[in-house]
Amino acid sequence: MPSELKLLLLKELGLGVDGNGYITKSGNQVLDPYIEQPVNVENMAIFPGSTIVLDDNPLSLASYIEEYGEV
Amino acid sequence: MGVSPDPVESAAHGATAAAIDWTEEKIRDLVKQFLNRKLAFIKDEENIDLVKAERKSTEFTILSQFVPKTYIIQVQMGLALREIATDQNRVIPLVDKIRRKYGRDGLHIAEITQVGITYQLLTHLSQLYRDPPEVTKRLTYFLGHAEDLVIFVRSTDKPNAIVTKIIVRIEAAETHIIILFGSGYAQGVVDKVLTQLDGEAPGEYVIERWREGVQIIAFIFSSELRGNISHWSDSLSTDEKSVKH
Repeated sequence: MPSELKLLLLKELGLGVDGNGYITKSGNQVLDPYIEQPVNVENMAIFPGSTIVLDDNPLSLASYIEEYGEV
Repeated sequence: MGVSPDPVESAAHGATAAAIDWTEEKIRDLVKQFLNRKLAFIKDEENIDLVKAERKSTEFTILSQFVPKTYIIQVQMGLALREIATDQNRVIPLVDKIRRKYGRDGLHIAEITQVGITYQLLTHLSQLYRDPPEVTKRLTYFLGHAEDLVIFVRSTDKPNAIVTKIIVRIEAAETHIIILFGSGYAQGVVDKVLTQLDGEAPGEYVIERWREGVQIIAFIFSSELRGNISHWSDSLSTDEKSVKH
């Protein structure tokens, strides 16, 4: 997916990207809810039906699936 | 990807649109699909494929019927560590994340699952107790005390010290089981420990060994379980496993 499209999609979700490539919301870095660390646009995952921004590491992905079901 | 201080706004104004092969209509369609919950947003599918495959595995399917929610992610991460074990670039950051999230105890649960101990323990508990709620109760206790009940033996450990640990801990543990794990040269230390334990307290413990590749896993059951064990130990002795009374 082209970077520009990714950024447009983020904008539709009310999200942005800061100068270091981290996802932001209202100017603040968005934290992965499972590892509580900022999410970089290069490692970002958002699943259908969700606005939760995840880091695409196995722990966060498994935790998300455990909580919300298969993606 | 080059990221400007305000890349979203820049892209939204079409500053770089000419450089890509995406029509406005196609972009609008994808945005619509995404907002309608039909499109996922993930760059590298390696990890999601790994997680999905594990969840479908026989081992995880069986474990998830008995492992409580509290420990299920640690267990699944153990299976992930096993799968990616040869790729240190993936193992190191995952170990770091497990430790940060669940602490040393949580990482220990992942590690014992990685080397196959959790699954073998479940097999034993199922044979010992039969009743699923009781199996879950015992497994939960064990995972909550894995730091004490699973001893990772090192090649430099003194057998005497390990034997003392076993005797003290096995009587204090509700499950009356201690597990030893040794890999590489540590296998020899595990063998010495088991010989010494059997010599110091003949008939007091039931010991069962599994060897696989360069690792050994030994289950030590205290006398409290003797009644439960006697009916199935005979069948185990016909396998590659070694059973002592």
